[in-house]
Amino acid sequence: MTESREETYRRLYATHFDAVLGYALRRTDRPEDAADVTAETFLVAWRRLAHVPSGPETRPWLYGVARRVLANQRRGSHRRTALGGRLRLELAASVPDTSDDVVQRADVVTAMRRLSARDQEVLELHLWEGLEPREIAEVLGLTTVVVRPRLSRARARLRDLLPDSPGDDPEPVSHQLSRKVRP
Amino acid sequence: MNPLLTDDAVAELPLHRGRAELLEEIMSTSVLDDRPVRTDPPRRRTTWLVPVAAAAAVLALIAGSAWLVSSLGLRGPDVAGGPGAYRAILIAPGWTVDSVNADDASGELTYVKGGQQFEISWYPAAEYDGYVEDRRHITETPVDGQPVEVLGRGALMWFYAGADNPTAIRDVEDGHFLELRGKSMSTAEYLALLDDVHLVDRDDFAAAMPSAYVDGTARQVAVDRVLDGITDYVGPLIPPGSTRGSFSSAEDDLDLLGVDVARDVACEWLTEYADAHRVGDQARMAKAAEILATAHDWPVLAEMAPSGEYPALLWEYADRVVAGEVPRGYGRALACEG
Repeated sequence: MTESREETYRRLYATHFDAVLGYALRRTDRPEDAADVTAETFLVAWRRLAHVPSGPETRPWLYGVARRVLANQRRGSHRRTALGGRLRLELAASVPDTSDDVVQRADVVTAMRRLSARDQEVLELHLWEGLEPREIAEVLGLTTVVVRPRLSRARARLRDLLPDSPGDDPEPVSHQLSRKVRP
Repeated sequence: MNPLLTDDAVAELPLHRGRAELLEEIMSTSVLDDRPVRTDPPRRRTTWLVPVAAAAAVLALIAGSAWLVSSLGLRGPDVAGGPGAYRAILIAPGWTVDSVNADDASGELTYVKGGQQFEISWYPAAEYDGYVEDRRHITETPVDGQPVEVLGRGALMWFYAGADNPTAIRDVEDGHFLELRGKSMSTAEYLALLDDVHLVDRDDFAAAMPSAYVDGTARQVAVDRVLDGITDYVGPLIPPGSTRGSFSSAEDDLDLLGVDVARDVACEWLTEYADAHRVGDQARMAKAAEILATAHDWPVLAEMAPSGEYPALLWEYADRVVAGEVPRGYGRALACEG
């Protein structure tokens, strides 16, 4: 029996909500902004459900949408969505100031800020979201052959900025993601 | 500052009502696009800046001919690949190149014919074990690949989501291995198609690609062509005092190469506007705005516009400057260098 549009969307929302919200929280200073990015991203997914790829490509697609929403928000052209009012309130009240369960050591985060925006973004997608080059390419709208060397160079630059921990290459966080399928 | 919470930590946050309410709010909004939900993963198409003509058309017209095989010095299924011939192409009637992404270490090449697709990928030998292990898990229960022969060597075959999506990983040769993936074809069709795959070296590979594929010296020619198009509207290309010595791109796809070049020109003038605004130099601001106003006419962007998001983003920044707004965040959004 064919799954209805509503069923498909509910499944997508349930599967990827935490990942999209996590992506937004890791890139915004205010939890309310992360709520907006999440609401807007899932609104786009609802309206363009026919275009949402299935399987392992879903999450990079959602990250790609969230990335564009975030870019709009950063340059001030983002109109705050009317959706997700309660989520904004709950998030503002619940996101802790500190946590043991973080995707990156503070020294690595500090070092990453010294890299170019381009290096930072590709590293964030790899280390924070645990994406492979192919998936990063989907998010950024680039090709894998561009992303692979870019990621490699960014990792090398990051290593250079972490002289106190030779050989201690930061590894991607282990999210509760479905098993990665290579491209 | 938010801690960089993991997704697991996010899942633990007490957001149940907000999360449920947002879902219902979204689903109560009108749907603009109600076509059937797609069940197949999409193919990311490389949209050729220049219509796939010349080489691809010729390739399609003479596909399968013994002449092409011999003129390109190709090594077919009965001949092992020579040194450096770890790339592969398909020469079969009706099959045409849809997209190509390749560098010296690895590459992906997609052919299409009607609703069918055939993808050739090559990777360094070091990635072989990882790929084989991964393919063992493409089914619910992990399975070893079925032994088949590809180009005179052993290979392992699996099936993605049903029997009509086969894929095979060929044994390592010359420091690389091939993966050949069919979509919407029977196993018999797929195995027959494997006989039409040929190993090629770098030069023969480039010769067999559509005209939108640029490599080596052709790349700089393409950069110059993009710049010529922009120069018709912009003079000079860079503001006085810029430290830029040249424009270049490492892309082998004309679309992406065009993005690189247009971005670099635009970034130069966005930066010029911001810098001039900082020191209150109205004349420099006016000049930068005047040049950015022409971005809508730059041929490389205009040709790309119907399919690409990048031109729209670049124009948005250009339009803001023209409207007198100081650009902010463009470096990150447009991926400007530096």
